[in-house]
Amino acid sequence: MIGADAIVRALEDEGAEIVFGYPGGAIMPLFDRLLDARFQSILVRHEQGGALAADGYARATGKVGICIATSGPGATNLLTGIANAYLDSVPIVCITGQVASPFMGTDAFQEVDIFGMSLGVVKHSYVVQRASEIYGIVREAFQIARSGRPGPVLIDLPKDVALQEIKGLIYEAEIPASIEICEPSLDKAEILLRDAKRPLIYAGGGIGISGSVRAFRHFVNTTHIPVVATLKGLGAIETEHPLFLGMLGMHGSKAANHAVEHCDLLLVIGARFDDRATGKLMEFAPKAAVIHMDIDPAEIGKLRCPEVALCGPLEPHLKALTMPLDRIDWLERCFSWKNEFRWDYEAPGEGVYAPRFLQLCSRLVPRRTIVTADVGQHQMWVAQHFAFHNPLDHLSSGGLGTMGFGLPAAIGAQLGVPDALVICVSGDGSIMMNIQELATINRYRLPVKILLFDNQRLGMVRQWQELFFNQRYSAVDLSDNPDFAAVARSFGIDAMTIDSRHEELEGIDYLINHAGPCLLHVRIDPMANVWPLVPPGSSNINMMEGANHAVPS
Amino acid sequence: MLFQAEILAHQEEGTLERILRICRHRKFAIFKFSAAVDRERALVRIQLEGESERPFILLARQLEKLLEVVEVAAAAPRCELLPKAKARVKAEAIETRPYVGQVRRTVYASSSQG
Repeated sequence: MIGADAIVRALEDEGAEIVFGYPGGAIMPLFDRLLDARFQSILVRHEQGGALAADGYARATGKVGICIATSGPGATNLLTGIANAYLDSVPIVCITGQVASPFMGTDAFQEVDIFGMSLGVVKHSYVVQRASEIYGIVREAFQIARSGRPGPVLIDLPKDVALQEIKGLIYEAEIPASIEICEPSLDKAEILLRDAKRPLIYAGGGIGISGSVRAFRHFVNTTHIPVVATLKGLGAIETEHPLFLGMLGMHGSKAANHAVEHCDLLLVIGARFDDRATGKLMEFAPKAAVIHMDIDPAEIGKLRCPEVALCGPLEPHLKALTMPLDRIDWLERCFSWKNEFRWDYEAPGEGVYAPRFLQLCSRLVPRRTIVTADVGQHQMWVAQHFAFHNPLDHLSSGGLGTMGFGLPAAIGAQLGVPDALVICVSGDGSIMMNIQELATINRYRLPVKILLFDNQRLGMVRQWQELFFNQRYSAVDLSDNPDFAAVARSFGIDAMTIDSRHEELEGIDYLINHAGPCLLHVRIDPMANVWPLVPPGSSNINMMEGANHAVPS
Repeated sequence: MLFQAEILAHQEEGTLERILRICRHRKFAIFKFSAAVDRERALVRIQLEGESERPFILLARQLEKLLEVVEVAAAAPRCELLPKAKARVKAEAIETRPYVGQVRRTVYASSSQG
């Protein structure tokens, strides 16, 4: 047995089903042994695609994602994917090849200090010194990646270590420490909750990550406290639940932002006061006392000091605070905002209006549908107009905002949840960031559906230039885009183009029911904007609105 | 605000880099730094002095998330030991037992390093 065998054995013992990777010189010993592994190896076409596919797999399944790359450029290509996982608290284990130990520090061929480069975007990292350590390190890396607040762990493996002979596998599993909840803080929280006249829940991604959805929904359905959610908190409660007021923040719903403005108690559950959610922090929830529940002590008081901090796992805290409340006056006020500010899907012209298209699509997809979003206007439209039943069904790059996330994430999700309908909603800017992964979809015949909104612009940047840079449009024109349908077909993926609202139902039917992978190319108005919008540096209550554009067909 | 701190950590690959990176990234300027390694116990004791507009507790909480870090103690402007009870217990255990080869640190499954 050599070091590479120990890695394979550790991955098998962790229950690995799939690894995403791209080979190269320094990682060849491991790729050789992957041929005999009990799990499947997926060859991606770029290491960033591998890391993001591992991320998508982890988000959709709740398991640890795994990606493998070689040294030098292979390792640096992983970095964006690692950072993406770090900022969204996604558990992945990344294994990089490294030049042989005697060559480390000599600027050898394909040598970079990936350990040093990745320090700011990993939960933990290792450079393996001896083959005898490998098995224990890999097992420990999984434990670290998924425990507490999850995150990425990197293992850098010198080639000579991967080839070293070893005699046995050593790993002493740590017994997880017992978790205690803080009774005095709970008592204070209960008093605040009982005294509140206008309580509101600000639900974050931590609810889904921690597997607390059931406890959370029981809490909501018992207390009848209205809910607003972050981008990553969507699905914690069903979008169509009467108590759900929508996403808060920069592109949030007016009802959600009004409720935050007027609430007197904000229960922040698995969220971190991200600037896209809070707008101008000093004016965020100005009348509210705060109860902050989070597993990460460093998030408590980082941006807003709570009146009560409940640091630890969400579920026991939620259970302890579940009680009937029923603030009828407040609920009526929230419902009236929800009714007054419901979405307007009317748009002039005969062209496709993306929000309406997404809302329609959302009504027609099967219940177990996973949507991955790329980054830009279409990402916000998905968040606003697609209905989600579970946080694991909405995969979106929230923290890093990684253009190019959607397609590889869809690959990971489809492999992790083969029975689900997986739709990647992308834009003409984002799709080009990892378009090579169409080859991966084709190779494994993954039935991923790609919904590509094409406005021939970098739409979100264009929108900001229109609104905040005096309509000086710099580097946003993509009118020389390739023929995306032809590109898809060249990768062996069927495609269809629509540009009129009369074709919407035909397009949606194609997207949902086409056998195998397909791409639906939807031309939309270049001037369409995402509304509402909270201008940078403003309070969330100052939401801008504008016209719903759609080009004449 | 000026601060002084003492950090006890396991001496492993990258321990000092991780700690100093967090200080810089979280906007805590360092004026004075010293580190002494106890090779027998594979521990490093670090003393820091610096300044930040942010309260020191925010840095301490970020440092405590590092797996290598056993304890962070603020020495000034007022002496306060920051709570990391489980880690402190572990540190005491390490300090009182004889060195028996390389000891891998505990993974705090319930903690939230990140």
